Amino acid sequence: MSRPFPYAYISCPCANTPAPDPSRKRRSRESPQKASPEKPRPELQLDDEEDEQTFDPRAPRSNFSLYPPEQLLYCEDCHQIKCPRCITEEILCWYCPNCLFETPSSMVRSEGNRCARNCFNCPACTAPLSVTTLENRGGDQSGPWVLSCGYCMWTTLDIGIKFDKPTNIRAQLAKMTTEPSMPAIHTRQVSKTFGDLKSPLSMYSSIDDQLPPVDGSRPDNEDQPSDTSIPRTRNARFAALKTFYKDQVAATTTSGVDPGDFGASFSSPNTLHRIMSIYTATRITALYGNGNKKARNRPPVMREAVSANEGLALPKPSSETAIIQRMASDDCGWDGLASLEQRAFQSPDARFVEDLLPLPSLLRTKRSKRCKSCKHILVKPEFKPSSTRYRIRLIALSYIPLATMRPLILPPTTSASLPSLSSAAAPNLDALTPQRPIQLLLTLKNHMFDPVRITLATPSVTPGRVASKVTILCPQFDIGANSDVWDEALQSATAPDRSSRTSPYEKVAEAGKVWDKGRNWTTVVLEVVPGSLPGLKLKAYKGVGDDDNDDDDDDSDENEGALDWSGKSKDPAQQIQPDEDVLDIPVFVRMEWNSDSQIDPEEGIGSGKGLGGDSVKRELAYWMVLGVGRIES
Amino acid sequence: MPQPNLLRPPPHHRPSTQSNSQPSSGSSTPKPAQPPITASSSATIAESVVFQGTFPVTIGRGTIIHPRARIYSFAGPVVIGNECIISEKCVLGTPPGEGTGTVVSTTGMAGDRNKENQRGGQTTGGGGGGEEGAIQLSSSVTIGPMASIAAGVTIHSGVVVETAAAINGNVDIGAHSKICARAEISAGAMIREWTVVWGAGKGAGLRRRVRVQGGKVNPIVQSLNGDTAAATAGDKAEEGGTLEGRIIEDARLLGMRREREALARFIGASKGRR
Amino acid sequence: MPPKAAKGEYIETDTGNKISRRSQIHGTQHIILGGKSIIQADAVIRGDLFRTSSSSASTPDSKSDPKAAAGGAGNSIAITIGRYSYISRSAILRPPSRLHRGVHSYFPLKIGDHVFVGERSVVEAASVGNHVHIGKDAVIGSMAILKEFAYVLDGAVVPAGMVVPSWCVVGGAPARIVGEVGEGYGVEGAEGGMARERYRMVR
Repeated sequence: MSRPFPYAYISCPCANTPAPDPSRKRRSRESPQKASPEKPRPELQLDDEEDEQTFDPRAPRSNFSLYPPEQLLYCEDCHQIKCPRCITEEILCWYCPNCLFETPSSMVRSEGNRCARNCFNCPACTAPLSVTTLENRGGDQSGPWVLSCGYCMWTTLDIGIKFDKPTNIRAQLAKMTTEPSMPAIHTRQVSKTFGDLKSPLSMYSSIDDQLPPVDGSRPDNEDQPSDTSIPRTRNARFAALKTFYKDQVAATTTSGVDPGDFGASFSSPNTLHRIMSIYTATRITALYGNGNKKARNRPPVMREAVSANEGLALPKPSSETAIIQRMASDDCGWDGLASLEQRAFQSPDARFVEDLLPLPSLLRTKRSKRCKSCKHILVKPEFKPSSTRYRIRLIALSYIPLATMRPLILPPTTSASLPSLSSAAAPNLDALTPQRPIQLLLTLKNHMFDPVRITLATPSVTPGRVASKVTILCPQFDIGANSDVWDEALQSATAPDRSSRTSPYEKVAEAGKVWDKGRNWTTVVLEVVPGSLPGLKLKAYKGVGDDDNDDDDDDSDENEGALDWSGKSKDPAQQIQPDEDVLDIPVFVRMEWNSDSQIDPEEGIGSGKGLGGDSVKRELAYWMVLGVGRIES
Repeated sequence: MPQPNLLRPPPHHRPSTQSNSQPSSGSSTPKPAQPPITASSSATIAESVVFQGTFPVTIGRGTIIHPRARIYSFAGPVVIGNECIISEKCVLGTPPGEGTGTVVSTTGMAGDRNKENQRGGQTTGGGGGGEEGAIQLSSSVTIGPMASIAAGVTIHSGVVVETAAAINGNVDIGAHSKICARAEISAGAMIREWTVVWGAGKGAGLRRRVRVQGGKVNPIVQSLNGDTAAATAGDKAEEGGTLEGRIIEDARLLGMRREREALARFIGASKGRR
Repeated sequence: MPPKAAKGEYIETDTGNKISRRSQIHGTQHIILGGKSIIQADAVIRGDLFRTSSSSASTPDSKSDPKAAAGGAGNSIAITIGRYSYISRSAILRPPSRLHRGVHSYFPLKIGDHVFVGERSVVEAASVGNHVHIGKDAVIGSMAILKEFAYVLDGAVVPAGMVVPSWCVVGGAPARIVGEVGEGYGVEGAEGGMARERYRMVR
């Protein structure tokens, strides 16, 4: 989701630390600010001067460390910002996003991670399906029922399915479209529950394994429609094959393991050894032939599945041709073919839209989050799926100041004297004029209960080819404590009103002075001169006039003519890269505060020296990127 | 805060005021011209519906036009069939100032119109002509909120144009089709009958699907039930054959009729006296 | 940022609602505003489509007594909007409707607190929870349910009857769940918690 201008992103310091390594977690915790050796490869030697390095919002790596502030967490133990990469998650509960019912964790796997009730998604367009009755005329609710999509108007009648009752649709559908459990021959299979048959697939993917194939079953049907023991759906064939090979493995294994439990212990080294010896043992005896192992009976050789009721399916030679003919037929056409997206969650044999079966809704999860390095729990929502409350929620916004920006509307007096600026009274942030200075009010709001001293640092010229000049008029200031909630409640109605309504017309931004200050917030002025885009220089200067900024635009000096958006320009340097015109300002934020914290001062980086008593001096530093706007081209 | 132009559906043959002005004058932002409107007495038209244009507008019986709908007949006559629902803030025709709906082809337009037999028997003459830029809505058409129908569009019966969909010039939409929300049909397209156009935006983002009208037998169910019919007895092929997809549409049209009945009360009531 | 409006653009009610003079509200007696909510210009709010108790009675062409239908349902509510909610320009709020047992009836559209509805969005949901964000040009289908803190991206088409769980981000046409908002979403002043600030900015 891209944000509208202006925005503030925060760079998680983890981008500068080595990849989390459990064995080194202590170390990484103690020095999270340390620039890693891997990041700035060219400047490897300069690593000791890590703080000198300017964060480049356009660097490819930056994408992975910049987060909107509300996505970030804060670990009170590590005293560090935690981004989604610095945490581990644990599933608290599974629930269906449609009916919001919780699915017990014991059921999740057997249901294939999908809702077991009446929640289905349209196989054609993924919109939710609703259970509707057909006989709407008389208004009776007894008629046959169908699942219908309110969006693309797909119904189960499109695939020739209707239901007798409006409840337990998934069971009804399963009954219709999956093999009824087979009597006779495979006794083992009979003893297996339905869930066992499905489970192998649900382990690996979210494919609804209840859904059987379509085409594959058809030839079988033609062949021997009367033989009930032949598995006809893909899943049933898989189950039959599995059973068969389990039997084979059991029969060829000398030791008397319980064949039923074999499958569960495939991973144990013993079993693996036995499986391997199935092949090697016979070969060795064949090679040496001295029969010194004569004492043991030679196990029967394992064979492959050969018959249909063992799960073997031989496609008829004509089946592919039949599919091709069907594709080419008039009543199929392009619209009759299932798209790749549609097939992704269907049986592998589903080729046509008629083969698509409704998909039970995928479950979602509520998760708790832990710090990856210290394992402290950072987020723990309430278990109930419908609850939006948290038991624990350590979000970064409660610790780091929240930055908001808004353009400073120039006083009318100024604009009167400078007619060119009158139009800039409310600058359009989506089309900033190059080289025309704008002023922004940057407000930092403190959510901690201690007053904070903030130091902001920004490069005077933004990195990259589009060099914009940035000046923070007051880079160092204090923010009051978020002390009294009642204060805030009383003040919030009046204070920001005052600042937003009157101040722009009464004040002029001054260097070294804060613009405005409230109980727990402080506003400073940021002055930005948007740079010229490469290739646009001549055009831009025509309007504004030449100025000394020329020297900064070193890259674009040799460019001539207007920027070529058509991509015809051969010179890549002349073309503007995507989003290169976005005016992103890296700002280094350093906050210091005295915390009368109970936490052991030894812990964490920011602790430093205790300042007498239980008050601890802390500091936290991070890069922030302010997205001011887009430079007009 | 109703708008000043409290337009009531005139009984019949409302004397046209500016019906003879030049059709091409729409391009130069003319004064809001009041088109001659022929509306069935059983049509329900909200007060705040905007009618502008020079060509006649015909509204069939039982049709509901929600408040804030805008109907422009600068480029050609607008014929709304029977039992349609035109939702709020949708735009039929090309508003003045955006240029008249420059139309080039009229593929199959006349023929479509002729087969529409009961389209407002009281057409004021110009309505049924073959002008380019005519908008033709057959019966039981639903136009969703904020949808826009450009001049020269023909929409056959039972079509649903959902919220904020855009139908560009000279599009022909076959009967019982559906244009899903926010889809944009590019100019000159032919949408066949029983087609659902869904997806995002226009062009490649759009997907198409043909609704099934006839009965279907599910191959899986069939293959499984060929022999073991007991498991799913009573599911298929009873009571004289399979259910046809068409009955879904019948049910929808019935629902639409009920909706119109409800709307006629609401919008009719809010107007005081129709 | 809301556009600079001319002086007197908004009428402020006793409870602090700011309603544009150019908004297009129908059936005001069937609409409840919780206070401090904003309704911008050209927004259409269909309070005239409310639930009637005896809507099954009449037949298509019996225009028997429209007054009775309106009068009898004077207390029925079509749309409720909570506190600090924001209805942007040209949005449409329309109560959802459903055919149930042969009767077509409208159901109330409930919009919670701190809800944002973007420009040109059409909302026909059954309920929109607190702190829900609906981007611009979005379409919320009939009887959809947006739970608290749901986030609908710009241009999304939430199909009829869809339920968007809390904290989920939906987008596309038809809309699917494409992600989740962060834990800090909805904190006062941050993303999702700008409702008071937005209210202050409107004059």
